Amino acid sequence: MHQRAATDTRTGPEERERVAYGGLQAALLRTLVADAPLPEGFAPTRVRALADALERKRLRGAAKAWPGLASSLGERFAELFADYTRHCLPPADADPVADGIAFATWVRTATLDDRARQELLLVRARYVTGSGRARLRRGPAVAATRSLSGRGVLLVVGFPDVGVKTFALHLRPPTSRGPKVWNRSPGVASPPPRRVSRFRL
Amino acid sequence: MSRDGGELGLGIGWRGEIAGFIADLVANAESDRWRLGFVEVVAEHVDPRSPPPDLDALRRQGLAVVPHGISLSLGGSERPERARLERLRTLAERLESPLVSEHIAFVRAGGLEAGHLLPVPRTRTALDVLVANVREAQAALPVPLALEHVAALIEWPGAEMNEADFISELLGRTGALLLLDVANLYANARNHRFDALAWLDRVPLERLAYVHVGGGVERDGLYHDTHAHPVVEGVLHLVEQLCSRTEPPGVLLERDDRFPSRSELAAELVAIATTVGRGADRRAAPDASARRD
Repeated sequence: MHQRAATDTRTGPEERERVAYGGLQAALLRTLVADAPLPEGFAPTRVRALADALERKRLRGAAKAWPGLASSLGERFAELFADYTRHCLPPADADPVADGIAFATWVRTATLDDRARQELLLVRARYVTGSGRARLRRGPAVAATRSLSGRGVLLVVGFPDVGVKTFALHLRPPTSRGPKVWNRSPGVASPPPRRVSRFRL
Repeated sequence: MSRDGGELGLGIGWRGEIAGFIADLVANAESDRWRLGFVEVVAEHVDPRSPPPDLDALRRQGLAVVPHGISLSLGGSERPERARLERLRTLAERLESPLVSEHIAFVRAGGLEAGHLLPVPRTRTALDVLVANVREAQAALPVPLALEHVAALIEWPGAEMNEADFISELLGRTGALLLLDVANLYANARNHRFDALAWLDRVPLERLAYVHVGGGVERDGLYHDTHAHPVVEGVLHLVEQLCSRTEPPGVLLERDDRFPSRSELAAELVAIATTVGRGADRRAAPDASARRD
């Protein structure tokens, strides 16, 4: 067949070449969709423009897949979705339908304050819910949700006969809806990591 | 002029939102000048075993249907997934497609999805990986594979060659065909400030499978290839320049979002067909004002 180039005898890339190359791609992608620091050598304004374009595309995709969801939220849709993309990565295959479902779930959680979130987590950790009545769990349980105050995680861990513990993990200092990481001004020292607070309920 | 992909003619990207428009256009085709000859369907948007009946109807009316993949991630560091290739193969067989197309890009890495076609670095390593991945894809597909270069807002550091040479070597080593996206060329030439005509003179136009034409918009000093806005004059100018150099087997309008009225969409198709004709005239009579600009 014409498309097999028989004259090219060069060997294919070695596995370690692929792995190293994949690391470069992953670093760029983390910057674009997960706010990771900008890899060296890229133009920050361009990467920012691309990240914004990706976010716009994601929003348009979800809005098209879930027109009712978008219209029911009205003007808040874009704002809430932008917040959502800052906390939730694109789903497998960047599927707009799945993205819409995840967004809808997130929006419900997003409207709760931390106290209500903890409560929700405790219920999830203590009970098995689903079809029928909620019943007490027998085995250990873990549940987590995003913390409203700052970019942290509320984590609930439950063990039978021991009880349930709630943790608030602050993964990074709270940021406002401000510039993304690659825009931070040089020379500014990072604030110390937040203490992990724990308390028994 | 006969090529592996055959003569495709004028085309449009088939999307559910404009399925009615396309069906009517084909049913009421009065002018041979811009009769639709083919459509392209985004491979990931249809079930390969039971694609929309509209596509079968179009095939019965003599149109070719070309599956256009967006998720193989041929430029990715990992090998193309068997299941994705299998899906593309099934679709091409089901639609009796003359060829399939994909992109010179990656869409996932390190467990993350971009949701977008991202450019690869123009390095030897990236080229070697691409060549290996494209060969695997070719081996799994029943028809020729055409590769499209993407529009990119960013440039990787450490480029070892220009884009035209990168594409030329990729096509030379794999035997793949070229899907030339004039809007992507326009966007990259504008955003990265290079000469689009020199690019056209450097890529292997003899490997041309077909051409994409799409709309875009300028935002904050950058041109965005959106497929959601009208085709700009500069893109049509490049279509004419391309057609003054070669006769493309097919030219296809891509519109993905913010669909305009039927009359506007039809007017864009007419404008493309007219521009292709103008370029052909210049090719036929190269002395008359040709190839100056």
